[in-house]
Amino acid sequence: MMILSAIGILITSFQSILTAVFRRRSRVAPFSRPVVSILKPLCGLEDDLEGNLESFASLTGVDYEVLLSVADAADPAIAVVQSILERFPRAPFRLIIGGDPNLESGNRKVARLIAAAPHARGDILFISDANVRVEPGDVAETIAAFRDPRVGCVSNLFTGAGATSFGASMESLHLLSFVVPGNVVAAFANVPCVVGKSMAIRREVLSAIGGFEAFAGVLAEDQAIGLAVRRAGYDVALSPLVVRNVVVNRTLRRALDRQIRWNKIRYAFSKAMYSTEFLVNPLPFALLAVIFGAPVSMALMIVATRIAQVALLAIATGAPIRVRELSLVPLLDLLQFSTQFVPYLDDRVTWRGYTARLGPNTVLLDVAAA
Amino acid sequence: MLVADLHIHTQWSDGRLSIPEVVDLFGRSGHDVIAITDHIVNGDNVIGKVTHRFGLTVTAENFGAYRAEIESEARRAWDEYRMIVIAGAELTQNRVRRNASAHVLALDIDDFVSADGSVEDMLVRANDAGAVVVACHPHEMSDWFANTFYLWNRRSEVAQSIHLWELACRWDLFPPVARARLPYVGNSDFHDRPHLYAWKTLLPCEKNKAEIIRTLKRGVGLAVTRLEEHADAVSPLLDFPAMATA
Repeated sequence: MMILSAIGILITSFQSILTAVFRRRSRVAPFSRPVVSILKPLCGLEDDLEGNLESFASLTGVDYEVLLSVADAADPAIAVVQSILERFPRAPFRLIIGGDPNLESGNRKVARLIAAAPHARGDILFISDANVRVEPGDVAETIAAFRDPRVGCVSNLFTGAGATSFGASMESLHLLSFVVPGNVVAAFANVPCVVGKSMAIRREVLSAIGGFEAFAGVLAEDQAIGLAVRRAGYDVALSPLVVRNVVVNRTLRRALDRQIRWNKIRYAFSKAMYSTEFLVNPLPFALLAVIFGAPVSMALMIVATRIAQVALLAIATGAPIRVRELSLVPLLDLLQFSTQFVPYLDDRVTWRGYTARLGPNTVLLDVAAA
Repeated sequence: MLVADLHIHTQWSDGRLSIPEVVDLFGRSGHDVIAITDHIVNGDNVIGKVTHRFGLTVTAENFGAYRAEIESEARRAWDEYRMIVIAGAELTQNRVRRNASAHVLALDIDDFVSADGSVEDMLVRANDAGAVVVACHPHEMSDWFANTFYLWNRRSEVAQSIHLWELACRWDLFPPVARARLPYVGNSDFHDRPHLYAWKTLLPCEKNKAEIIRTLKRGVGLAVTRLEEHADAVSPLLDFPAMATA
């Protein structure tokens, strides 16, 4: 157990340092001013939706449009969009309500993208979730990755912001301590690891891999798109730019549900790779080692190191984590350890009103209303 | 997806532009489908008689010429813009009380459809003519004359006679229509150039008239979007939709 814990702390330290190095990479200016269509699927009132949409009202460095796609004409998000349109009448926003109801039985985010994409005029399609907030120059900096013609798809790192509840803090810490360094390591290893909260794809590359329609039946359309882009012969890039995932209010239950859903997604893509993730969580092994006779000081040292690692990640990414939230890192690691076993026992996910079993590569099976 | 505006008035009733001008404006702005829907106003009450006196309505007498001009311009619209033009009318019953007023689009009609008699009779005639029947601005609260609540107040009774309801009209969205889960469209209720940038319907079908009419009657999979005009757009009319330049 001590050896496993030591290996784990070495790996996580390496990840944290690698992330800090990655973030210091020089950013390049966009090679030109391509037209960017930002596709934003909306469903209900995400935390501070108005503030998130407002952050897209006056982007700099790009010619752009924002296509806001809503399935249900009675969705409360529409009122928020209308409020934004009144406050920012010159913002290049377009609201699209409705679409093919048959697609709603699959991945509903993809259904929204399918509804919006035919009206997008951009050479680059930028997918941005409703809870993502950006700075004015972020989109321009992100698409600078397309300066390299081999790059077909690029995604952003993202960290939580705005947490006001215990569950939201835990979710933000999970993004920072686990998701961010995982993405960075994958990028250095040249393994596609795409999280669709904020990602961009060239239009012609999307067409070459079958359009969004090809991904209507999978839960993790982002990673599936990344893998398809790679198979089509293009590179999948990770931008050093960090965008904010606004998570204001979460119950712990909901935060854990998301962790478990993401665990199941990674498990569905590669059981072997998923199983190695136990190694990047050294604290549970340290506690087990203590139970079997190892000195308590060793466990305390692991705790202190983990907190230092997360602090380094917060500084490197500019994540708005409060110092007292760092004290939650040990608890987060233990919860993450316990949720890590769930995919081996259960392949069913519940998400946005439906439940489904996850097949290989997150293909949605036996979809039913939740 | 086809961009459609199914509620357009011309000089044949109370619109400011002629049919050729409308065809050029909508064709150049990238619309795939439009419907010319001038008013056919009832002549059996005082408001209707006044409307007839001012010539703000298509009548049984001039409907043939109206239909023929649409047909001719539809051919030109296809040749020049690959845009489909549907012949229609807005069957109009204006009353003093908003709860008694009703406006109904009858799309794809070949013959005159009278707006006289009861609203229910008017709906029967529109359906008998094989039209796509659309309830116009069913929950508009802007000014007394345009408010047409008759159909909305009887929506469960008349639902079988109406294919679609305007969820959005010109610049307004009607949340009660959304909450009622009625099949919907969005239109501009175009009368003049500033109304070009307004709500539109998105149709998931091939660009041919028969398929468009079938899709409208089925009422499934339609979407609406609001076309915005931006002063700094790359090209306000020719580049649809408008884009911002940062």
